Amino acid sequence: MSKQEKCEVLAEILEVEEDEVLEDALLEDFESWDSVAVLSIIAEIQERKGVFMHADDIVKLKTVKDIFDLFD
Amino acid sequence: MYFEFENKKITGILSVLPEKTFYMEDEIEDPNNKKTIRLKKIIGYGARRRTKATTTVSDMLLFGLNKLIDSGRLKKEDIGAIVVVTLSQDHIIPTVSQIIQGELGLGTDVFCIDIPQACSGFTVGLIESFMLLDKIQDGRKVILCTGDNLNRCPFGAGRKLEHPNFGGDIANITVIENSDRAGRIFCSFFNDGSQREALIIRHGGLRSPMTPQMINRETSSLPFSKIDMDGSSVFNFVQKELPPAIEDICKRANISKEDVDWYLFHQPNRYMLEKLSAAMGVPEEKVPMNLTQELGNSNSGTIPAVITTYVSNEFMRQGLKKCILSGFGAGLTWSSIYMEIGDLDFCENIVSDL
Repeated sequence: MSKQEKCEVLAEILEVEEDEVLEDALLEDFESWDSVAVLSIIAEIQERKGVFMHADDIVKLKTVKDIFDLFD
Repeated sequence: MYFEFENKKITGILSVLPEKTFYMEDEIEDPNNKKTIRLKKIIGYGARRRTKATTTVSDMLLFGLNKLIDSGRLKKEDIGAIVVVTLSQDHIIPTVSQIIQGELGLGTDVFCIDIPQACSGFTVGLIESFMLLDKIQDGRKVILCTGDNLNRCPFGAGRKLEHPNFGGDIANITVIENSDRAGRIFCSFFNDGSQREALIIRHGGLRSPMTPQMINRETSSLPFSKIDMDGSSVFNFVQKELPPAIEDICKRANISKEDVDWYLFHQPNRYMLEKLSAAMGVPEEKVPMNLTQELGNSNSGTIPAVITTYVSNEFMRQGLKKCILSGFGAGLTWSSIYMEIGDLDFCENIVSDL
């Protein structure tokens, strides 16, 4: 998954423009960083990698890069 | 556990709705809360039906049964068994099926049984009904009654909700009988009780009775049933267990996924059903998925409500349809059935004043 694709996916989940999805941005600073976003990320990872993640493991992540790393 | 049946068919389904619709925007404290708006848009919630605070599921079922009897679509003497699948009992005892037998004035030889099941309630109720029909010797029918009205909100009535609630109050009557011309039916049932805490109504049973504080009209905003749910565990459970379980039942029935006309699923929310369809590789057109945002999630009542709300025309007059029915949720349990449904005598929603 290219960095551009990751940006597109996360921008859609967080309901922001792609240029706002910077690797060092803090997740808690996004207004849409909530349980709906976490569930969307779980679904995305399951669809792309066939891996089932629990919300607890995603909620504790800090930055956009942490999410990008999950997509790899 | 797997079950197979033959010579059994569904002959009619009726869903009873309360007359009042509640919209999320009106029910919730802060309708402009961004998360609420996102829940509505992404997960898919909007409207639901709720009964009056004094209504019980037995009231709704009797309303429907009397309509069927009065219109000649069901004869009292044809009823051999009443199977009720609900969590909304009138009392601890007697059971809802016993109340219905008494209120309808049915013969004392009618078999009555209640089954407390939630999301898998319809498929479990069908399996139980098929087993009864295997043994009923005199040609009488089984009446499967499903649905809940846990959302009637007896406590804190009139208060706005802090969080959106997606439960809906619906009751359904499904008539099932023996028939020489019916196709073979394939059923499966699985349960993983070690995950039971992922979906739990914790209070109200003997393990944790309701406290005076919970039932105080002034201080409590608890609906009758506050559900604790580990959302991601339930989501993962559905995505993990359902696709192989459905593949499995198709294989047993010797039918391809493409040949199935309708996938009639329990309705947790649209989002989960979209993801489930994608994981199974079946087109969304074959998976009705809007019930929870239009009428609400009524536990054992969702699958029959999906049939009467979205596919009633097809099921009334367009021949037999190949159907997969799947219930999944509290338990955690998942249960699937392959059967043909069609040419029904009745298949509709009726609105009650309850």
